Amino acid sequence: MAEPLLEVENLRTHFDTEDGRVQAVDGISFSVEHGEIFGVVGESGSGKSVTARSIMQLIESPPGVINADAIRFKGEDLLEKSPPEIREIRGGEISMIFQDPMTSLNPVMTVGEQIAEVARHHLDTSESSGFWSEMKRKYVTGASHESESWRRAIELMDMVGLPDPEQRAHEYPHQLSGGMRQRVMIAQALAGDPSLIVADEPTTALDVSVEAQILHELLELRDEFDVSVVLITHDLGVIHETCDRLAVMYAGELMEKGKTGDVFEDPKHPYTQALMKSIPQITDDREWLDVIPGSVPDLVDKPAGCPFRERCEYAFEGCTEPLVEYDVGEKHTAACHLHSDEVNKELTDRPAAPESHEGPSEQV
Amino acid sequence: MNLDEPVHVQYINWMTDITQGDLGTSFFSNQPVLEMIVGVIEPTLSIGTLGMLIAVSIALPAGIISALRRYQPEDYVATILAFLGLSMPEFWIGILLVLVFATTPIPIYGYTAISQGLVSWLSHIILPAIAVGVPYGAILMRMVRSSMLEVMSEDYVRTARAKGLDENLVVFKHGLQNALIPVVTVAGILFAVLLGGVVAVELVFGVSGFGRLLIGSIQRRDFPVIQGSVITISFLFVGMNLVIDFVYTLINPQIRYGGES
Repeated sequence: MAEPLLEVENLRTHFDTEDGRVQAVDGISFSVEHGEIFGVVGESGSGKSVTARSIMQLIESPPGVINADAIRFKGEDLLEKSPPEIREIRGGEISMIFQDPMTSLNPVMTVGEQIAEVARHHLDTSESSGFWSEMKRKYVTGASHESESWRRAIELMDMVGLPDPEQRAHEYPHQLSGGMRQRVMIAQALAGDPSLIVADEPTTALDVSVEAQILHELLELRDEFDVSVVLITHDLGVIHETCDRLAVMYAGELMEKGKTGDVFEDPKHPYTQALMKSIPQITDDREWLDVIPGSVPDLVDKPAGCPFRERCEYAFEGCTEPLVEYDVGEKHTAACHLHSDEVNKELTDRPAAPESHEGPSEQV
Repeated sequence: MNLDEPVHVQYINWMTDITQGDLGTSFFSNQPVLEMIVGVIEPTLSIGTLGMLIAVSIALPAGIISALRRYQPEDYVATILAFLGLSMPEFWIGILLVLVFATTPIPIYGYTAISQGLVSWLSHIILPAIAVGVPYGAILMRMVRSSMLEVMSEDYVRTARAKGLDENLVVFKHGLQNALIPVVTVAGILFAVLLGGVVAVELVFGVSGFGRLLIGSIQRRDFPVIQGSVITISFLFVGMNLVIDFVYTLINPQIRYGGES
C-alpha cells in the first residue's frame, strides 16, 4: 500500500499561560491518505483548530509549543524543516481554509491579487515575487492584470463557481457575500496547486444553503485537483456528508477514529455514542434531546487518564489509566478502556458495558 | 468699528466681511489683518510641514519595530524614548536645541524665505521643526505601535502566513496599510497639536511667524488680528482634515466617495 500523504504521530501542542500549561492537543496520531477527505470533529475547545495549525506550524510561539514524534508529509518530517522550507510548503503543498471568510481575507487588497500572489509564490509564473517587486506591485504600480498569475486567479475563481470572475477579481472582500468570500478562500487555497488542504470549519460562518454549496464544491474540487482534505468541524452532519474517514476529538485527545460509515453506524466510544444521541432527528418523537451532562474539563494541568470519565455513564476505576487506542474493527480504533482485553473478559458479568449493537443510530 | 451695535449685529457684519476675504484691520498698525497673516504664514507652515515630516519619519519605523519586537529591548528603548518625547514640551526641546547648536553653523535664530535659497531656508527651519516634530512623532509612534499590534493578530495576517509569504511581506504588504488606517485619522486631528507647538517654538527661535503675530496681538489686545488668526487656524485645521479624508479613500477601499458602490 502506498504511504499516506500525511502522518501525524503523537502530536502534543501546549500553551504556557499565566494560569499554567494548557495542553490543547495531547498526543494524537492520525494519517491522511491520497485523495481522501478526513474529518476531525469535536466540541469547541477540543483542540481541532490547534491540530490544524500545528500541522501548518502556524502556532504563535510563545506561548505555543508544538511537540510531536513526527509530522510526516510525503514521507518528510515537517518538524525538521527550516522556516524557508516550511514557507514553501505552506500555500504550495499544504494550504489552509479558515473559518471566517469575513475576517480572513485582507480588506485592502483585491481578491484577484490575493489569489494571484499565491500563484506567484508557489508556481513558476515568470513573475518576480521578491520583497521589493511585491511592494512595488502593492504600493506603486498595482497588480498587473495581464500577468500569468492574474489569469490563473480568474481561472480559479471561475472553477470555484464565482460568477463573472473577470469583474469580481477587481473587487475588494467587502463587496462580496459570505459565500463568495469563502469561494475566494478556496480559490486561494488551490492557487499553489497543493496536495493537501486543511479546512478549519470552512462552513461554520455560512448559512445552511450556502454551506451545502460550498461542501459540494469541495467534493468536486477534490476530484478535479486530486487533493486530500482535512476537514475540521463541530458538525457531525457535515462529516457524514463529505468525509471518507473521521476522528473524534475531545479535550485534546482522539477518542475514536475510523471510516465514516463504521463510526456512524456503530460508534464504539461512549463519547461518540453520546454525541450521536445528541443530534436532533427529523423523525424524533423525543421530547428532550439527550445532552451530555457536565462540561468539557479544564485543560490547565490536565490529569492523566480518560478526559471524558467525569461525564461518562460507563466510567469505572480503570479510567484513570493513561489512554490507549484499541482496535475495535477494521481500521477502527477507540480510546476507551472498556475495549481492553481484561475488561472484555469480565464483560459478560457487567451489564453496564456499552452494547454497540444497540448503538444510538438505531435507537432513533 | 461699529462697537455701538448690538453683539449679534457685529458678529453678522464680521462674518459677512470674512466671506468677502476681509478680516478687518489691526488696531495698531492699521494694516488689513489678512495681509498681515499672509505675510507671516510662510515660516509657520514651513516649520509645521517639516515638523510633520520629521514626526512621521520617526513614528513609522519606530512604531513598526516596536510592535514587531514587542516586550523586547528594541520595544523598551522605543517606549522610553516616546515617553521622554511626550513629556518634554516643544519649547523646552527648542531651548535644548539652541544650547546644543549655538556654536555650530546651523542658525538658531531667524528665518529666511524659501525664495532666498533652499539650503538657507532648510537650515533655518530644521531645528524648530525637530522641536515640534519630536513630541508629535512620539504620540504618533505609540499609535502606530498599537495599531500594528492589533493588525498583526488579525485573521488575514494569519492567512498571509498560511500562504507561505515571508514575514517581511506579511508585515509590509498585508499589515502596514491596514495599520495606517486609524493612524491617518489621528494624524489629522493631531495636526492642531502640532500647530499649537509651532506658536511657542517660533518665540524660542526668533522666527517672525504666525505664532509671534498671534501672541503679540494677544498682548496688545489687538482683537481683529486675534480673531483673524483664530479663524485662520480653523481653516487650516479643517483643510488638513479634508486632505486626510482624501488620503483615507486611497488607503481604505471600503470608503469611496461618489456613487460607486
